[in-house]
Amino acid sequence: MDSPINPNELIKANSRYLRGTLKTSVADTATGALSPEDAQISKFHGFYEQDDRDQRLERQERFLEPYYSFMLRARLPGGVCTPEQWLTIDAVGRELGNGSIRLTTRQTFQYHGILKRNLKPLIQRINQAMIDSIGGCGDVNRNVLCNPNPERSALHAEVYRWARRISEHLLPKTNAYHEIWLVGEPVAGGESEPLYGETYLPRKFKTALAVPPHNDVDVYTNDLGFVAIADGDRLLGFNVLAGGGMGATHDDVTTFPRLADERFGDFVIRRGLVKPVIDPAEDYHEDV
Amino acid sequence: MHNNAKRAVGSTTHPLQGLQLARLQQVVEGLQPEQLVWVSGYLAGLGALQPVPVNESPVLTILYATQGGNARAVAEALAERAVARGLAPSLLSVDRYRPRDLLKERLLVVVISTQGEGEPPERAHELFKYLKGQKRPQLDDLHYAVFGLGDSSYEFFNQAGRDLDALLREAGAQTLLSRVDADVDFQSPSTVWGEQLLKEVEKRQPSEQARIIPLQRTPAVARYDRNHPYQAKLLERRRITTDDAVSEVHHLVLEIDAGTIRYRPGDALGLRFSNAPELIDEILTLSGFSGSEPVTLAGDSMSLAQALGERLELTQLHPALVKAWASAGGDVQLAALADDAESLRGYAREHQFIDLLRTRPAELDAQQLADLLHPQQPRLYSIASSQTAYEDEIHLTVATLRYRVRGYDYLGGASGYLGRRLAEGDRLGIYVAENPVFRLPKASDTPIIMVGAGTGIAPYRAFLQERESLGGTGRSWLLFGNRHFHRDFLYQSDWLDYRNWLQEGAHLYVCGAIPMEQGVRQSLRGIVQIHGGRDEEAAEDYIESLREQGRYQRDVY
Repeated sequence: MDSPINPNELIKANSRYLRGTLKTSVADTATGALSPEDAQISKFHGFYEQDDRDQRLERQERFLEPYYSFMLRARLPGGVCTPEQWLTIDAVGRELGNGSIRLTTRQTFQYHGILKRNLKPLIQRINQAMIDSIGGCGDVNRNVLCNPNPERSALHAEVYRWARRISEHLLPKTNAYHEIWLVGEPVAGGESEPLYGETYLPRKFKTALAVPPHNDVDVYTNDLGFVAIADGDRLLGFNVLAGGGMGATHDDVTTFPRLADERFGDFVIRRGLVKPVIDPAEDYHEDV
Repeated sequence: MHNNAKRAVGSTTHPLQGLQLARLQQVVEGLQPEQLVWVSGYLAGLGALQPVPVNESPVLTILYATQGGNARAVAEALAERAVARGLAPSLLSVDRYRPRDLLKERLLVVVISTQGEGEPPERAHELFKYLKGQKRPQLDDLHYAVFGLGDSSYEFFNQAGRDLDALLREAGAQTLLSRVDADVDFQSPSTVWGEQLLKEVEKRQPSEQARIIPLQRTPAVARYDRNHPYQAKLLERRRITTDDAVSEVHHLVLEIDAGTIRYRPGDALGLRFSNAPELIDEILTLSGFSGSEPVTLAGDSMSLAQALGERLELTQLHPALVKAWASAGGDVQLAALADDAESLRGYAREHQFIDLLRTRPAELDAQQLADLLHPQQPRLYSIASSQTAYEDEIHLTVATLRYRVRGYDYLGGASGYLGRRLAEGDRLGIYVAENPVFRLPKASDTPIIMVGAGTGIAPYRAFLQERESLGGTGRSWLLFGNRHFHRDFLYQSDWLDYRNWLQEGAHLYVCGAIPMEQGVRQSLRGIVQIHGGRDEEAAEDYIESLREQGRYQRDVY
């Protein structure tokens, strides 16, 4: 790439592995916003800062800052949750969000209209239900897709387990999330990112697993697609697709949507699955 | 002419001795009128260069302890009358007076107002402390008079005046004239009292002695006050709370002439307002008047409608009026209520004059109605701007008082006028009410802590504008409380901007309603107990010492 380094890369690099000054920003009661840098870092923790554009001008005239709130997106591989988890998801949306839950095309849920002071209680509540929002947004691997019904067959259950393993394997190793939202003080270890490095990825990264004959998750539009190869209900391995994506930056012809290539289409056996997933990610990172 | 002048000098009325008078007369002999005038100025100038030797006639000292400026106005009017009668009073604010000078006084007048909880104004603190302290003086040679200003709707009506009177009496001083406890309409009682007082003072002046009256330097800047307000133009009004906020708060920008109106951060703005036309209509309808009935108020003739609109108090109901209404109309229920001071005050707080009319229409003529109602009191609002930053503007932060109760809508008098009826471009009568006890520290690097709730935040906006304009380096803490973060965080974007330069020997300011100040003080006492390792009494002493050093300043209402 010829273009100068994106300022966001510096923010990431200076964030001490996604800590930034989030603690200070959240503790600041004079504003409903985060510092601009922390608003970038917060994405890796699963939430975006938003403001109500319709109110901007009027609030400015009244000496009021924009109406800031936050959208938080959970990490929920395959969109699978237990009934108990769902009850928590539902209750939290009522109590700490704006009363709504939005289910997303990437098989997870989002809360909107979260006030800054409610971020920490909300993250703690979903954590009690074993749900986190790490990488819900941001330049890391996003929620991993697969057929959302592991009850359908033993094969489906096995592929869902792989979706979870990939999702967990590709989590950032930093303890920032636990430190800031859950424990409240520095957590030992996790002070390096062997997979991502200190600038993480340049863009978001998407992964999906399909069980033929259905391509319900649309593997072609994901950075990494896994197509299950089975013998009856027994998973033998996956064919791997790479390079798909829908993202394009307006007015930048070097970015465009494209379908994934099947050049990684070799049959990958289960035991070796994790390795090929890591390698392309590392290569991509080093190419930047 | 000079012959007449010479003849007018009687032998017993001048302080000159031996041949001095004859020599003087020789010198001025034959001077032309113009030359005489020049010589008089020359001599006056010479006199001003040297301290005038202590005159044997007792000096009349007039002290005022003012909160909103009323006590000062009364004291100034008294001093003017005294000068007009050939007396040479010494007039000063009590905070500029050394309490131990009381020992030298022979004639002392104190005009003093009372704060909400019966306390004296902040600036009279030293005087009270001295009179109550272990070194309290014996003042057998002192004659004094106390004029108290208060509001009988408060429980501790004129308590400061009563206390001061008692303290002076205990110190052995004699009363010159018995104390007056004036209510909100103090103007005419103060005039009557002033006349009586000056007669008493004159009795004590040696009749044949000449008196030396120093030349008064009249201030070049015209003074505006409650009775002579400046006509300021409303440049801008904007609501600064959201539409769904509980409170309707407006930011107002008034245009002033920077040459004639000067104010400092911490000062309040006194203002006149007109009453709501709907309210006047309802009063006229209920009392069966057209509004065109002629009435006379303090010598001015006008229509009843005009009197109700501009001159009379309609929204703040005074207990005295409730009482008068009850006895005039033979309303047994209201009369019973009016007999109990506590319930009378409660009734007055929760009602307006219109409620009295609604329960029982008046059986009065127009003049009687006008006389029954009290004269309108100007309202005071903390100024929300610094003149260093906005030379020819005054900013106000006004919460419109509005509520619905007993099926009727009520609207605050001044706040309804400022928040709703006044239009941009309109003019309104204002005057600056100085507030020297609520000031930024002199050193711009001294840290300050500001505590405010609701519109109590207004003076701090002035403080920070001042500090920013002057490049102050002291750290500033602002603790603000209101109902809803997104709806009524008054001046939020201003505070966020100031934060760029916005914590050691700090000054603490508290502005807001009285219960809030009490809460802050209680918390502060707790903090001093816990973190200062002091017991409750020592904590209170510490806070008291902060107050004496001007490091704990309050502006409460």
